[in-house]
Amino acid sequence: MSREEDRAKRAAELVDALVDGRAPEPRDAAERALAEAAQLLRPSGPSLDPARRDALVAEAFAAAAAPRPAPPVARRPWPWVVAAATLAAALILAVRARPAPRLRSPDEIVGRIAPADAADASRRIDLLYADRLAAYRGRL
Amino acid sequence: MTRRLLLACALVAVASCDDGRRDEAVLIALSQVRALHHQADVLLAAGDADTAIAAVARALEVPFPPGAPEAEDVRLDARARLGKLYLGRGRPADARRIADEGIAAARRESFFLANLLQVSAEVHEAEARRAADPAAARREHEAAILEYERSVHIAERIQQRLVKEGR
Repeated sequence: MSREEDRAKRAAELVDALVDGRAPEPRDAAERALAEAAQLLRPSGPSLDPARRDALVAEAFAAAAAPRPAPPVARRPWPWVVAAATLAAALILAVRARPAPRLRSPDEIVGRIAPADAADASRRIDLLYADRLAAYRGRL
Repeated sequence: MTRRLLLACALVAVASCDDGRRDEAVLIALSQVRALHHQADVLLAAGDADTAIAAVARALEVPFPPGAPEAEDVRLDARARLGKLYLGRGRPADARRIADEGIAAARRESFFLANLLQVSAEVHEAEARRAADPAAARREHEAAILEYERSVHIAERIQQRLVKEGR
């Protein structure tokens, strides 16, 4: 039997004795305090000494009011990395989310080609290059 | 969490870089084609048509990024110019070859394809004039008419589509 089980068994025996109307027989100070607390909570049992009762109640209130240490919080690894990465992602997504200007098709840029201009590819490549260069600069 | 966030950032950054690199590659290709056409202009002004033809032919070999829609239009235009140059130099067979290759390679309708079809029709006319056989000349005339009609229909369809789309 483990120590915890032994203590639980002793507590049960003390409470059983109290419920049966017998005088509990604590072995040490801890068991005595336990028996007294159980006796206090059970009005039908043998009454405690008023001074001892008040002391137990005061002790309980003091324990409840005492500041408790905060439970340990799982430490986040490199919180500044998370913050920086989130900010970077937000910036990149904001830039990417901007609707990119629609590129005009070469047909829109040069228009219908007249027979007389059939060989005028120099002028058309100038127009197309200028349009794509402007679009590229607009994206920077 | 942190790893996923960093991975997402990296993917977005890589995608942005890819778009930028693609735009730059298209601009570089366009600038090369443009330089070759202007070189041909200078050569033609100097009376050197054969070297001008070689410059325009080099424009067909300029590499574009895969899937760049500009590539097809630019090459069709270079072929149209080459066809006219070959015709001017009395080389209708070369003009026919360069026009046929371009028409066969075209994947979509465009003003550039319509233009090359016009040049192709002119080549048929030239071949009709040169044909000693009346039947062959008639065939070339008919082919020219068909190419002109096809060119006009394509140009009209594109024009209507652009008007419909408000462009």
